[in-house]
Amino acid sequence: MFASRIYFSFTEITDPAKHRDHNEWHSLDHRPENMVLQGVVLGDRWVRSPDCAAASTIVSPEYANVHYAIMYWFREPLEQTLDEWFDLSERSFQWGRSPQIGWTRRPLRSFFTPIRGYAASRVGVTPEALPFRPMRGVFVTLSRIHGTKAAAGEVFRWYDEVHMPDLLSCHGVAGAWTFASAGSGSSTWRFADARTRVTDDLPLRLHLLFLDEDPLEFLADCAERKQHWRASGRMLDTSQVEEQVFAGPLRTIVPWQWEWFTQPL
Amino acid sequence: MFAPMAYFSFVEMTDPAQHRTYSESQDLGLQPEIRAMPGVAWSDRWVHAPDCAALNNGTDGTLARIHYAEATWFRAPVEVAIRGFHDAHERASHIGAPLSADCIERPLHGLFMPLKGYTHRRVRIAADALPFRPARGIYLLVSRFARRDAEAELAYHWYDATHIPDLLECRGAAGAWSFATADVFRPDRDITAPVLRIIQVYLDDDPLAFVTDMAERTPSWRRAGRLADTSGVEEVLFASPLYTITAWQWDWLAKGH
Repeated sequence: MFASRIYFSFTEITDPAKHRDHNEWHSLDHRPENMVLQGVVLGDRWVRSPDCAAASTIVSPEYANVHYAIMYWFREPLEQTLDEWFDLSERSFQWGRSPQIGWTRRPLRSFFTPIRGYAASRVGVTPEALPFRPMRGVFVTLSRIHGTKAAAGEVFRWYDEVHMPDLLSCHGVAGAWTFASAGSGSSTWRFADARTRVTDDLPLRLHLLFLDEDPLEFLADCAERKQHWRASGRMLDTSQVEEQVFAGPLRTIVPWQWEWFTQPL
Repeated sequence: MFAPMAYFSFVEMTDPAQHRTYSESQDLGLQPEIRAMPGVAWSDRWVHAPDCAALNNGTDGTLARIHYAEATWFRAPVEVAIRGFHDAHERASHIGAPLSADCIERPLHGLFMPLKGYTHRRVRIAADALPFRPARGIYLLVSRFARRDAEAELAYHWYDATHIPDLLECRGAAGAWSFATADVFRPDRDITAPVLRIIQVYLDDDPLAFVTDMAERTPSWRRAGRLADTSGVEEVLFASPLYTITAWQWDWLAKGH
């Protein structure tokens, strides 16, 4: 596996006037510094623009105001990788280059283990290359997992054998990755403010679809195909095993084009 | 040094009808695979659009015709990284290259050792982070130094202490890296052979505006004694702006930009 952990976070900007500052800081300062670290495979970020927010299919209240999703892929040795990653975060603050502290909330931040990647046959690349392939957006599904292991196993198998391949046939889906929440993989590494945060007791599962066409066009096509999948017995009621808490599209962030929240798309 | 070696390649498409196919195969196929390799720190590609080519101030006729420049940074251990890089190209060719090699010329390609990174104080990041920072384009200077002598050393010193800092004051310059051909770091090198060097300036404003600003500042640099005549030892083969490539926006050459 090219990456043994990911970090995934939802970010909310509490001051609407700070979106440009936030994007300048992350795109032009913080992400490039992170990318230098040997253990960081890739860092990426997407925006939940107003049209994406309106098109979200499932949003539990804690994620209603999410503006961005951020993701880092980490390679071994995790202990060293996360030490360096955290050091950079703290060093940035000590340098006076961490202004987002004044205007961000992160209703979700968690480590996940990559379970499996899927690449649509038309794109030609391996699943490992998908995160590096240009995209126009992603579709994120986040679920809390409960129920028995046997029932969960059946649902996970359906995703792997039936639903993910079906999703790959939708308009603009270049590929997908599935993740399961996990510890950081480091025996010593913890969020310093973990005790001050509400954490999910239930394990989480994350699906990320990589889209090389407009995310809203994917959604429209997917909705049409679901009727056919249902009619042909390819849909499964997963509610005994998972509670979906977020399902929605986000757009790729293009540097210097940060006007989603000040201009209608 | 986050990446002790870099590979530069300058590409000319001899069949103008193939630009889109080439860019699709690079941006959506080969480059993601290369970026995913553990030994590759980053890989990037820029276009020498017609309006950029019109500003090229170099002497080399074949480099003047290039359409793309590509750079890949390798992490240590470099031998493993480079082998993986070559293997990725070989695998791609066995899967079936979308283009015939006949329509691609590479007048210059090879390994270069990164010498030093520079950043403008306004961007605040480390020089190592420059390749990962979004840019609107680059300015590339490719030079051949004829000799390894005191005059060459003086020229290198001028670039490092005077000219690159001056270039960083031009509009949109976020930072720069200098490189020397990797051959000169071999213990058995031929010290009489000419040496290729590259200076790459990262631009976060319009690359053409950088060139205009540089031209406007040149007389004041001259008056201030900040320009050196290096022509006795240096031949500037290529000196041109290039645009950052945005996926799916591959029509610079059709539009003439």
